[in-house]
Amino acid sequence: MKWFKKSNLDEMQELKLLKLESKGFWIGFLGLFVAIAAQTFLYGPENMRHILAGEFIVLMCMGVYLIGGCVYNGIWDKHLPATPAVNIGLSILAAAITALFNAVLSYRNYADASTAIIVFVVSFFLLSVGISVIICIASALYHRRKNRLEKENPDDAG
Amino acid sequence: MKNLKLKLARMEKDMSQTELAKRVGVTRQTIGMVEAGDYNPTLKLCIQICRELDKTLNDLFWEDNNDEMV
Repeated sequence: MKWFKKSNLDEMQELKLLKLESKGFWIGFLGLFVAIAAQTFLYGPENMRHILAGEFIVLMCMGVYLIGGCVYNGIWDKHLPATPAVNIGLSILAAAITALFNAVLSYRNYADASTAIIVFVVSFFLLSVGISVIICIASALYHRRKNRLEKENPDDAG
Repeated sequence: MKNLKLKLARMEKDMSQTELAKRVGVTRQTIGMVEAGDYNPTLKLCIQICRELDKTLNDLFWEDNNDEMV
């Protein structure tokens, strides 16, 4: 399988390909997310459960791979720091958006504003806590990994 | 930032971009982008280019304070 190891691309083309693949990943990731949300909204989760399961699993696998890989390599985000304030702020924002989506779905299905409000409040609370916990765990793992990577090897200290 | 030093060194040797590219194992496009300042080559490629043009890294890749490397 020697022919498989030899690349047809030079270093500049490899870099270009990496950038294209990166953009392709995000197109796929966001596309899946939008597809799941749109289908859930149009057809309702009870009708789409058996169809969305595959898409959802693929989306989760992509997310876990990306987050796991980044944390393992001591990478967080390009622009945002891994601080509790930012983590909780982003969790609340994500929870609010998802809770709003759930509330709109509920209102569309049952045409009852009070139910929709309850759905929003409960979703928001549960998601805020859930997402915050997950992000904080990931953030703690990231900090621990980064410290380990940054620790100078006594042989290299000179 | 254009790399005119590289371009001049290549022309001194009467070499086309294609020929230089072939000798260092990259595409002509890559050499073109390096000369145009649109791509920063790896150190390995810089050294290979210097060897082919009988120049040092300083000669071809050291940055001056001017806008273009002349």
